[in-house]
Amino acid sequence: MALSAFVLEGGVVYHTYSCYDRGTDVLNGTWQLLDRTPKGRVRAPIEAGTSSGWPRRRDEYAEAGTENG
Amino acid sequence: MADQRVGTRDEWLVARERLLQREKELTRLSDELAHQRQQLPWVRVDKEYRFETDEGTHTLAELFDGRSQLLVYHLMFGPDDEAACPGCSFYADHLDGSLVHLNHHDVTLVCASRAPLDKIRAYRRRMGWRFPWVSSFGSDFNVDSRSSPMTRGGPGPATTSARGAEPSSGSHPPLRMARS
Repeated sequence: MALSAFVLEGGVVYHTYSCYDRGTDVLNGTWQLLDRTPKGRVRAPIEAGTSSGWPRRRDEYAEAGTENG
Repeated sequence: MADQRVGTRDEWLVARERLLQREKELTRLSDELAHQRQQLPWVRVDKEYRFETDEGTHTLAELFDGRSQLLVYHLMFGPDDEAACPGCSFYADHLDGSLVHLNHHDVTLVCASRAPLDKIRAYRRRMGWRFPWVSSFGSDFNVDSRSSPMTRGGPGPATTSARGAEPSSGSHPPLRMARS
């Protein structure tokens, strides 16, 4: 995941900013929410025995069924 | 969580107050960095990139879609992949809610991937996403933007000067973009 920012002025495009890796952490609302939970980003999936992959694609949590929406 | 301390409400309040001061420091620092981010020099993009979009072939300037600011999310989805990378997809799950607010703040947000447009459309349907998503297939955009894994570790601005080998697959998460 990476993000780039551009501006268009007077018909000219300028590149103004890019970030990547941990620099994109703050762009992800789920990370920010997990940072405010007791077990944080890492511990819960491992302790729950689901370390085989998190996050997964949204339709690949088939067995988990943890969505409460 | 065997090492976790259990305390009284009063102890919690003291500790929370101490942490609140640190959180406020972070907020102020974050505001300061946002300002410094806006002071970075602009780098002119002269190269004519072409993107395949739902409305046909567009230039980078046309991706702005009538607005003056453009955010491009580089979603790792290589030409040979059938799905975008799980980490990028996790991020992309957060985008649709922001779109209308960004658009009314003079910001266009698009995602860009190296996969061809038909693969992008199929995966977007599967994920239920609505944000604009363009293909940079056949263009150097992702490489030049240092968003492809083969270019990781490279220094330099994320514009038109940096070139790297095209990766065969976009399906692993860490990306390298310009260091400021």
